[in-house]
Amino acid sequence: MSDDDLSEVYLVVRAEERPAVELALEGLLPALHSSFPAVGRGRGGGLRSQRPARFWPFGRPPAGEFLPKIVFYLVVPSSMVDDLVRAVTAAVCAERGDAEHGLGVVFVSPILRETAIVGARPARSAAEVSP
Amino acid sequence: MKMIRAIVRPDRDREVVRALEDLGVFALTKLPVTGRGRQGGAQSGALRYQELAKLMLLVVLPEDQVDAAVTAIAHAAYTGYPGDGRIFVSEVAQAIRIRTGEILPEPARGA
Repeated sequence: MSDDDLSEVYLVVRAEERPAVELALEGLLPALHSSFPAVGRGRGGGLRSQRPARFWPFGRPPAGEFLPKIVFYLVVPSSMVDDLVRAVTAAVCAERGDAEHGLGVVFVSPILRETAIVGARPARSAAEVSP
Repeated sequence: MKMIRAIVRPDRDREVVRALEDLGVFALTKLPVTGRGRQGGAQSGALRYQELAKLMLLVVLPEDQVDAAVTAIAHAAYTGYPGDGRIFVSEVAQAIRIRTGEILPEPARGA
């Protein structure tokens, strides 16, 4: 892994953890990130495994449900991924502890190529270059 | 471990999720997105929609389950009309469960 290697990181966390994660990210990288509202569920199948029974409607576990999540999408140097995961994990678990399920998951993939969209508009065809 | 990014019609949501459940795949993340394919949106009379509402599903699976999941999604999302969507598969180098901090070697299965 060289210093130039980039990784894309998907942070999938509970929607209500958005401020905590944003704070953690700000402390680590002033760079931009994107976030998207989403819904999701884990291996256990959603609320059934992620919320105490007192939240079950009519005392019964709901089935097939999805929970509000927020997905942060970041591209960072690969050397920063471990710090990033540690910071986010600490931020989320600081509020929730590690007893509750459904705190989220982080996926990391290598970026193969990066092209900045800056400067002059590239020519669309040879004809456009030489009229 | 692979990530499946399936961009499908929002109205095929239930069918796609059920198809994955039939395979035992419960964990997934859904994002509302907009986009367009080769046809560049849709034309309805004088109205032209340059982008259409779609649903993106993120599913992370062990490699040996990917083909079955892709087939199931494609079958469930199919209507036969332009705009049924796309399915992309990419590598996932690492998956981390936030609650425990553990690195998931195999059965990450989404979020």
